[in-house]
Amino acid sequence: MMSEAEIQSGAAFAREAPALINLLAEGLAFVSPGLDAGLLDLNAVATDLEDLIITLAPGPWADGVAVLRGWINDVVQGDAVFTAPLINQLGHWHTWVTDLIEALEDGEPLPALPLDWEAGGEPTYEHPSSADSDRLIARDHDPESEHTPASEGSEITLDMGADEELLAEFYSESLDLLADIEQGVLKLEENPSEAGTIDTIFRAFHTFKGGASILRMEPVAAVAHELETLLDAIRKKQLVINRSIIDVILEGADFLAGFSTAIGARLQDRSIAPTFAVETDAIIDLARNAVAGELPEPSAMLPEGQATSLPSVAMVGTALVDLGQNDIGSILPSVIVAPPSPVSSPVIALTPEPKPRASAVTAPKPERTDAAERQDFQVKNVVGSVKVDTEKLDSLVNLVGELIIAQSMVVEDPAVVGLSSLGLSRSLRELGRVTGELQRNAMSLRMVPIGGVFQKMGRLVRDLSMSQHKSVQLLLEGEDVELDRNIVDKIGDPLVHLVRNAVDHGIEPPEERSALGKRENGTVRLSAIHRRGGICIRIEDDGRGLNADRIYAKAVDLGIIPAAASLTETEIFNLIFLPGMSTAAVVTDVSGRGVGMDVVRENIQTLRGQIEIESKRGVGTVFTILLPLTLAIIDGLLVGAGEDRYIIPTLSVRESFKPTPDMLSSVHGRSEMIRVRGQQVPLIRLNRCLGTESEATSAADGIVLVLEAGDAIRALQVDHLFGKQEVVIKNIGKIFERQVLVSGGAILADGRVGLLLDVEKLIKMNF
Amino acid sequence: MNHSLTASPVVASSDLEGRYLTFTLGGDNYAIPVMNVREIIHMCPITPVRRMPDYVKGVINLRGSVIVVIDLRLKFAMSPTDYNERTCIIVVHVRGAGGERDTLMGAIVDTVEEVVMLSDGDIGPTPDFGVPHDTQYMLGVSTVNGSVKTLLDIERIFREEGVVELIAADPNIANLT
Repeated sequence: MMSEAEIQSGAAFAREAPALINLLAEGLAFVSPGLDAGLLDLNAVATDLEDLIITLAPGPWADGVAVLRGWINDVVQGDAVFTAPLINQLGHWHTWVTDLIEALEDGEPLPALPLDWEAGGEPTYEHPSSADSDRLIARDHDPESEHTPASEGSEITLDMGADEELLAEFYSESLDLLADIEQGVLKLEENPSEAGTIDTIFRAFHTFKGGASILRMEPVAAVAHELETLLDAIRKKQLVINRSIIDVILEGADFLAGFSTAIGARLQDRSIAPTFAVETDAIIDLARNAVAGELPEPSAMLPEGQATSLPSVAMVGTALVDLGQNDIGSILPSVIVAPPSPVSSPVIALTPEPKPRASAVTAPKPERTDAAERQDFQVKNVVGSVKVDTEKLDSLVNLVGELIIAQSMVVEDPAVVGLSSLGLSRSLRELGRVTGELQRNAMSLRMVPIGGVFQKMGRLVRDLSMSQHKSVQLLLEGEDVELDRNIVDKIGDPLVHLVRNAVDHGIEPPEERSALGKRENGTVRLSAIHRRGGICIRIEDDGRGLNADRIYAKAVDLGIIPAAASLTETEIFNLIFLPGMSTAAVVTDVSGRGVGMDVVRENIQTLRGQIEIESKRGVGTVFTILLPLTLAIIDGLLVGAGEDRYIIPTLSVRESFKPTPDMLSSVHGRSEMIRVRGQQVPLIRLNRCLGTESEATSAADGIVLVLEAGDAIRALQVDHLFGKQEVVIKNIGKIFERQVLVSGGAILADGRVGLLLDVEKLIKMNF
Repeated sequence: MNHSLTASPVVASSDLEGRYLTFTLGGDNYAIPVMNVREIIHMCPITPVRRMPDYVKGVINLRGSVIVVIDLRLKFAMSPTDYNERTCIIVVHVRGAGGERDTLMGAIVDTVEEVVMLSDGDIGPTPDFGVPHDTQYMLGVSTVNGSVKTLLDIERIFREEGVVELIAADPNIANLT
């Protein structure tokens, strides 16, 4: 009788097998004799096929997959290149397996495995599929197990020259896998019984193992294998997932991440010594203990910093993985502490020079590149997306911007305007439509959802709250809001800092919270929404809020403000963005050293963004970051001041209007104020800032724009408001670095250069 | 080889042989290495950048790039003059110093004359004016065809902030050699 799980996996089989076979066919289309292109893909497909067997397998299917695995292992362990007969054979295998699936679906008799097929070599691993789970666990406790090359001190030599493509492929794939694992684990913490997530993590470890073994990095493959075993036990419900197990999984992922970082470093910089040792015993033991259910209860954690003698990753070489011993040690349960034995560290050597291989067919260079390209193409097809150099994207977006300008120069040219040809104006409209569409498309190419950055915070909050014995939940909102790739890349660091601050200094320890009548669980909310043509990111915590008195006292201490300065609360809060200001009573390892908030604001300003603070004692703090959607093109208002024209980013403009004389007032006959919606706002005359003549004698003659920068609001009087325009920002050169009012240039529709006003500086300069 | 000039500067001037673009500012003739010249354009609308020294006239659109334009007369503390149809902008390639990017900058000059080939023998060392004027912006002096041309180190001039005090080579030098 089938259990429910078996029925489910049977359905999964019917769903997934055809897809995998399609992948196999696609992979096969790109292999050529004498090349290794596509090997990793085929290996991954084979691995996935083996996965399917674990859950449920019709008889011939399992045998067929074993045959396929054998062939691929032959390639992997041999010359790592395909031969013509093998490709032929793989084609036959595909035909056979297609027949098999069709027969399965139609409920017809299954085709038998052709007799002349046999697995060519011993599998690298005895896959869990071929062993029942009891034996699996028993074997894992067998010190002689073939899965523990780590303790045999095996030495593997890798070939940086010949394996470069494979290494690069492995590296980029491993990053995706590790991200999957991390994401999965965080989901598991919320919902430990979610089968889909467990499967995802299992597969990620499994695929990692496959890749590592292709590259003959057995110790690493062994670690991945142990973790896979652990996940397998969980998904078979032999183990109940708990905090300790999640920690082991995360640690395993960290270990593998360290390893793939090391490969990445060597791929980038060939001068790094190709040899590094990995200490795998600790992590393997950890995983095995977890499988055997010998982990301590989650509460029996080691106090921080006491486990520094624990083995972790000992890397030989220079630029190596930052997987410090404290990192692992601090969360390791004490039971499994085992001193590392130096003999058992296997050494993986990546030799930088290609070594001649016994029977390798060296393909001529151009062909190789060609094959690599075709393989790239294939990979792209599979995932349905294309990886493009951001520089190429930038230049495309810039060119499209130029095109828009060139188009409007043609349309607005007096000679063209003077023509009264219906056909021409129709063509021009069509041109305008196409260029507009083109621009929207080009822009959307650069846009990526901010969710990726947000999700990284999940791990951060988890680690921080654990190490500080706080209970913090992270809520994410607006993960699908899209931003320019360049901005997303650069917003990560400031966000990390703000989230750290929120957990470190914002959220109180549970005792303190319950004493205050708050929920013991602190909350950090990270959200993104569209606002004013840009993006607004908020980092909210329900912690203790900023202590204005302490900030004030510190600023006075540091001589930043005079002792008797009268500042509004908002002004005091903004002091934390000054260098040297930090309110942390305790300096923790992650924040509170007084470096940071100034850097955070600087980073955000270089993105043409703004940051604001709201905070209430005992209730919480909100940081609001306003960012433009993109760096290359901004929405601006074109204004005139005397003969000059300037662009003001729309993001900084709250509103604009024609003032009436009764709205204006002046203080001491000099500084002017204007009443905006019942509020007195200082008025800046642009001409006076620039030292040019104005056409307007009274402020009431011009147009007033209400500008916002940070918490400051100012009214800016200009002579004309020409309209709204999208402009491509151009660098105007170092010579203007000290010209603080202008932060860039842009080509306007008439071909002249317009200057971009730096609103923040303009406001600061005056007050 | 002119032996009267075989003092130490000659070693340096052997690097100076090459093609030069000559132009005028007021009544003086100057030359800059063609190697530095990207192109020569007529005067075009300049967007002024306020709160900058007088010699920085502003920025122009050079086929989609924004480049800074400097009035060489003002840079050399000479009296300004109205621009006319002979006024030109020489677009100069300035190599980035200390890891900075290469940039293009425009130099406004009264007239552009010609490109001349100057050999070592045509180039003399920067004369000692006997006054503490900085001669570091001059590569040397040439006296071809009877007219004296001051060879300028244009990259150095553009990298320097502020007004550059420059004394043009005295036309009488031509008679001395």
